[in-house]
Amino acid sequence: MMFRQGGQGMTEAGEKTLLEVRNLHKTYGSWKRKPVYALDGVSFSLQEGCCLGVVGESGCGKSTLCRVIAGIERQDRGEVLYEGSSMDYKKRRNSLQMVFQNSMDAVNIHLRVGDIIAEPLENFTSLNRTQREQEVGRLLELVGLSVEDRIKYPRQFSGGQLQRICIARALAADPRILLLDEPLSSLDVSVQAQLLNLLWDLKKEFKLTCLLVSHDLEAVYYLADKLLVMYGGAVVEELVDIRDFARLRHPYTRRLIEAGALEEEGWEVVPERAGILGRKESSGGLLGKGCVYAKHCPRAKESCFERRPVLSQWEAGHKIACHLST
Amino acid sequence: MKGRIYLFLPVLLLLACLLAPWLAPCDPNQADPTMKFAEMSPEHWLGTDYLGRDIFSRLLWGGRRTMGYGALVTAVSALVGTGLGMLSGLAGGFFDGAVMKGSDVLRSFPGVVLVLIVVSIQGVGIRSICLAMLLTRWIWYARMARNMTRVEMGRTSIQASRLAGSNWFKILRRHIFISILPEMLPVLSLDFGGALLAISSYSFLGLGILPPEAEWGMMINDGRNYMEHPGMMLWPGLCVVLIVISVNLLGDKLRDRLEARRS
Repeated sequence: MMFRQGGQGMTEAGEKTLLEVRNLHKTYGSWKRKPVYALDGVSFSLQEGCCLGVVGESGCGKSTLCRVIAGIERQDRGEVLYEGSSMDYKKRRNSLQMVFQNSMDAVNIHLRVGDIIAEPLENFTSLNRTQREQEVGRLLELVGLSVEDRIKYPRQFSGGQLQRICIARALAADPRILLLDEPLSSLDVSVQAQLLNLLWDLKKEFKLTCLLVSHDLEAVYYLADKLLVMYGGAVVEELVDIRDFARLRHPYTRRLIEAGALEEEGWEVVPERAGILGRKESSGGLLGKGCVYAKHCPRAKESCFERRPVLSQWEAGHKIACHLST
Repeated sequence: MKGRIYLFLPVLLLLACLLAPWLAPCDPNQADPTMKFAEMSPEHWLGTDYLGRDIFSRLLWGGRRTMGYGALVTAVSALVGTGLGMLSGLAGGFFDGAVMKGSDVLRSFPGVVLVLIVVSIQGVGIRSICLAMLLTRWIWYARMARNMTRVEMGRTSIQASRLAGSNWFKILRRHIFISILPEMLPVLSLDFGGALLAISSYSFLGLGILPPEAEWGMMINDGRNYMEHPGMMLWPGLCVVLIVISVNLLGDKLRDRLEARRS
């Protein structure tokens, strides 16, 4: 694709842990239905200035991860640590901001764009009206829109432009961490590339710490420094430096990559479906024991169905949860 | 320009009625037996009724009551209903259930029966009528506001403004209220028309405004006995019809305008 040189690796990252997630669990469902495991013991840490990419098919819990970290939903178990202590969503609301998947639904269509972007400014800063307007103008230009756009309504914009507005709103809060929940899905490819470039520029300019959730490995490769591959609510592979991309070796990750490659060759492959079918049973710890991916793993052995592999060191900066690799 | 007439007509009528003390040529209750059923003349623009009272003056004074009480009932029920409905939709759970069940119970009374009950307790008069109307009219608003609030609550934009640091009150005011307003406005103006009709009807039945005070519905009732003099029924009837139609059309126009502005 048309991306710039990807995988910038550890750009000044790695010093200070800003966000740490420990053993997050989250199930959905009620007393009527069987619970669906959206998060099944997810742990990772995010360093300042670092961008963590989370990939996985839809339904693997990556959006839930975002929402739990953002404080929209509460986890069943586990902790979200911000700068070493439990995240206080009341006091530190502004430090974690999120860009949502569907930009059309993420803005109130009855409000002017200027008011949408000014909302965090009203709540988090003591700027007066004219100062807020200036700030909104600055933010609009920052995300590649014009100052005049602030008097327009959301319906006058395209999806990509709206996503830019959402990014501007998130940045208005002056966040330490930006959670990007599939910011590119529902956009067409050229707009995706433009938006990726914007995110890249913003990341470089502000040394933004971000969590990029996506099912698009390429986008993640382009923007992220670290990589987390999720399947069925669990982390199956972790790469500290995305430049080691070629070393990814979990069977599921391989399939994700192959799905992407096939697509390049003109095959109609949906990367989201790399895990294929029967998600209900394979979703997380429902099986109780065994690897979350065992059912669809082309190389699954007897032991894969019996014991759950633990995420463990494979080589320096590379963790993997697979029996076949350890 | 075409749409303006809907606004123009009710405003004109409203203004005329508001300015009744200055505009009305005669005392609306001043009976003059020598002038019974007078034809239209420069002195009595629309003629006189069976007691020789000036119809035009009575129309203006009557309109004040019909529209004033109609507006009062509509405003109070809209405020209470919308507020309660929005809170109910926001809170969900027990509160939501309690409010909705309560409104179901109230709604299960036929409106007329409720009016008769209140009248039998409170006695005949416009206060009883307004009270009885208030008891049932807020429900419609509450249900609409509640359901629309539920829909709005499901949107990502609400989560986004939580993340933007807005508290629930602000979300209610800035996001939900503004989103449901275009839907509520036509209901509001339709309901105003309905309230006007209801007040006129109850006065027509002799339950509302008491004679000799003028009121459109009561004037129509007075005219009922003197069909040979159609003016007595025609003018107040025409006023009611005109204002109700234009208020209804105004509601539609308002919604169209609000919707168009945002797309």
